[in-house]
Amino acid sequence: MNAPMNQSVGNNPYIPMMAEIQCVEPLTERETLFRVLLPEPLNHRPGQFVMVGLPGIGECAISISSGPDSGRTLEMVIRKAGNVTGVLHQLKKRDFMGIRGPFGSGFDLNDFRLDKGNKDIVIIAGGLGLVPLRSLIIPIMDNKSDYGRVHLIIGSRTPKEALFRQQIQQWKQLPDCRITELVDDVDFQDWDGEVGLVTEPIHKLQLDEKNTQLVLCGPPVMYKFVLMEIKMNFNIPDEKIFVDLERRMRCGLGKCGHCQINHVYCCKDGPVFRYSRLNDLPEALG
Amino acid sequence: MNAYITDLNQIESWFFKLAEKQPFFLPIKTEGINYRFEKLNDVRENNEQSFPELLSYKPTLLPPGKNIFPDGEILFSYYKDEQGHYQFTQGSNIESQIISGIRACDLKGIHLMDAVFSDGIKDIHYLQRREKTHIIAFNCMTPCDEHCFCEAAGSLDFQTGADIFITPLVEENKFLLEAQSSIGIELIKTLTASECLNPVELKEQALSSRPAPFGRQFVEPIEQVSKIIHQYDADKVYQQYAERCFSCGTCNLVCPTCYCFETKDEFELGNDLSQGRGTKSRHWDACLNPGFAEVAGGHNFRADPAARQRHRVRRKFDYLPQRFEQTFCTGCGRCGRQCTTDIDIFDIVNDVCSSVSETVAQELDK
Amino acid sequence: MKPKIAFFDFASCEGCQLALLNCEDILLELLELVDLVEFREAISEKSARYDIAFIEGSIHREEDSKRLLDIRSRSQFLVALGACACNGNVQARSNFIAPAENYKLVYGEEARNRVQIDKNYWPLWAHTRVRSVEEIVKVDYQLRGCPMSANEFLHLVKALLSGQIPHFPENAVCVECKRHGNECVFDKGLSCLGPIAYGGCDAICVNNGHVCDACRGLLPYANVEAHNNLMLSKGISKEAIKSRYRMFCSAEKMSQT
Repeated sequence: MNAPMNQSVGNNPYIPMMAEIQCVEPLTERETLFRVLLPEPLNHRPGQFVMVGLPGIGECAISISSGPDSGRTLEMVIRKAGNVTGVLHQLKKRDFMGIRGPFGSGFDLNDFRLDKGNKDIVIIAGGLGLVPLRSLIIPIMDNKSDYGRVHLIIGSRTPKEALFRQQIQQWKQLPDCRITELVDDVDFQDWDGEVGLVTEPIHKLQLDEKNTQLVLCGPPVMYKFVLMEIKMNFNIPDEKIFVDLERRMRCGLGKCGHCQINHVYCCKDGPVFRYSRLNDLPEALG
Repeated sequence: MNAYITDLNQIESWFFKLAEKQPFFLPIKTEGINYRFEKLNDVRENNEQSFPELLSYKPTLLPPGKNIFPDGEILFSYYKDEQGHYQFTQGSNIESQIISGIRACDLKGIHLMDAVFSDGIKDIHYLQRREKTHIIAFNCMTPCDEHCFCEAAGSLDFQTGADIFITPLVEENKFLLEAQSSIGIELIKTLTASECLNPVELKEQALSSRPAPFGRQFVEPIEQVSKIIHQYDADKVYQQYAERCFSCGTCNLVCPTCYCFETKDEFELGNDLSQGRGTKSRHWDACLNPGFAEVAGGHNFRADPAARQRHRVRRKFDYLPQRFEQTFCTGCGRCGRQCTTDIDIFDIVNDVCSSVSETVAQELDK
Repeated sequence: MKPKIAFFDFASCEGCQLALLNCEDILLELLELVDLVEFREAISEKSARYDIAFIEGSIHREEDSKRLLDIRSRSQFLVALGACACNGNVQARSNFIAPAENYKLVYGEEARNRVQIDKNYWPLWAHTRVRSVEEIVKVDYQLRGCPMSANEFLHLVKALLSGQIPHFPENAVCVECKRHGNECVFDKGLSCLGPIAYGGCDAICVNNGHVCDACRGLLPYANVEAHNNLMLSKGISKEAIKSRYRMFCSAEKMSQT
């Protein structure tokens, strides 16, 4: 194994594993897909995240984008947004990056299976929101017969910011998969999808309301409007709606306090929450 | 039998004995009007002996728990070896220490921090230092000053977690010392004292001689306070205090139960402009700082000072109690005492309670 | 090729450069990594392009602005170094005084009377307006303080040389003061601008028994009104408070006081 292990130091939760970069694939101007090889499997759940960075530089919370069966391989999409992500974007194949985790609650795939009576799965992703939700979509698509109808609504600002389009084409071929891709603005580029906000196709969904699981992830401004649209059109119980939230994180261990939403720590109790739980968390969608 | 009776002179010379073996901290007066936990050996030259205020000092600028959670603590160091692989070493070396003269409120503060740092994924830096920290605490006989509200916050009689616990007795210059742990039993061996045969009785006598009520009291009992803080948004009250708040973070940084931190990664610049060696450290942070809840895209989840003030109050009386089933305000009075613009969590809590009873009364009228 | 770093002086005491020369150990290491050009306190040389240009001092005359614009056009990163460059420093107090009055303060009554009769007696500086660097060109980073902090300087240089973005936390001086366990200046019966002033200095003045005069400027979220009330409650006169605010923060935020 090439990746150095931290054998001399046990149980210091701040020391990262060093993972070797296998592939660096720019997806858009700002977003790059990194595939890394970990010294040991993470055994993560969909929706969990890792702290990614370089010693001496810093760390950021980054969603896991690969499915739960990816073994020692881990995929992440990193947007160049600040110092740490800027430095990560300078890394090349065979360089190392530090990984700690997995952290957070994530999704339980059992909540979505057909044999638990779930007829419809709706997944709504805005912008980078597709990145964490991909870790949930992949295991569903890989074992499609275990799941009911899947409705994906995927929004991006412009065509050149749309992520994973090839993979989305493959998902479209699967039985009982309805996928709507939208952009806010075609911005003079080729676009074979629709134009509009992710709220627009919601009312057209054909759902078995009582047996629907709905998942939502996107920029902070998106949640209120999408939830309003869902509530206007469907009677889906709040405990069957999941939101995947974003907060600033420093430790990932439920200690540093930065990600706190009312009485819960996003890094520990989230970032995935059932909507029924947000009644008690007024800061969640703030 | 682990209870002893002695006088202040004996306690003082015992402190000097203990200080020979390991760093020994106790509250010492500052150049001004405050107190600070300082190493006994450092102050020895100036203070020939005798600490008349040992058991009556105004709570220190920083609570003693900060000795276990130091600012700037190294979480790990690293270097890149010749193959370009990262090698890590644990944080700083941790040596044992005795902190003495800890008030019950601060003892509770440390107890609450123990709960926080051992919850979930353990914070070994805190826990290792805590294990090597020995505590000599005491029972307060009078409220320390006009800011104290420890009885109202339920920490006046807190005694858990001290290796040795001191109670000043009714008889002048007599003190009851109880060893509460094996380390306490070991430490007390060098004290010149007589064994106490009726500690329970003497202690009860001492405690019943305390003034009642002890310090400031909330307008509602503490269980009720938690419920009110949880149920009511009371934006108006928080807004009122936020108007004169500097968002300077003092209230957080001096609080015995504030433990939020920022991490800092540093490197030495190598000849090839790379980051060949460096450290990760953590620094006390404050949720009253405006940028505390800002995320990468620039969205700030608590941009409004009133929201930050509410967050602080709720953390102490609602949020953390939900997780740990204890009130996280110890009533030490530090935040109110040290706020330059005179914002006291005690007043905020009382105002929220009063505004709620007004609201309820108005609703009943309708 | 080594990155080129340059220092340029405008109206200042050059104390920031001295503060840097005082940390010889850091400086010698740094010199191994960079080419130092245009450092009047240390060396004399010229270069066409600069990777990092440090501007020390406030800008007074029109010809100074031209020089500054030229430096900007030849620099990848431009850094305002110290309080003079960042917010005008004490010299910007003259912005609030009529030129003739200012002249009298320096040269006396008689001289003032003379300039009012004969324009040729006006000195060079008399009709200038003191400006911060940011008022003339785009500033990439600010190293605040009088003098600037060597630690922040080092952080900035290390970050820029290794392709990173330097970061300076935005918090009040109180944060750093409390981390040091200092006794509050107000508790000593003195007054302090720490609650509304930019930190980053590690509270160096209070650590050493002084008070904070906000040499790094006022925080963008400074609650000046509350601070003003606090100062009044300590028996400080309105005039004295105003003068205290203006001491270092002359070129900014004055509308609030």
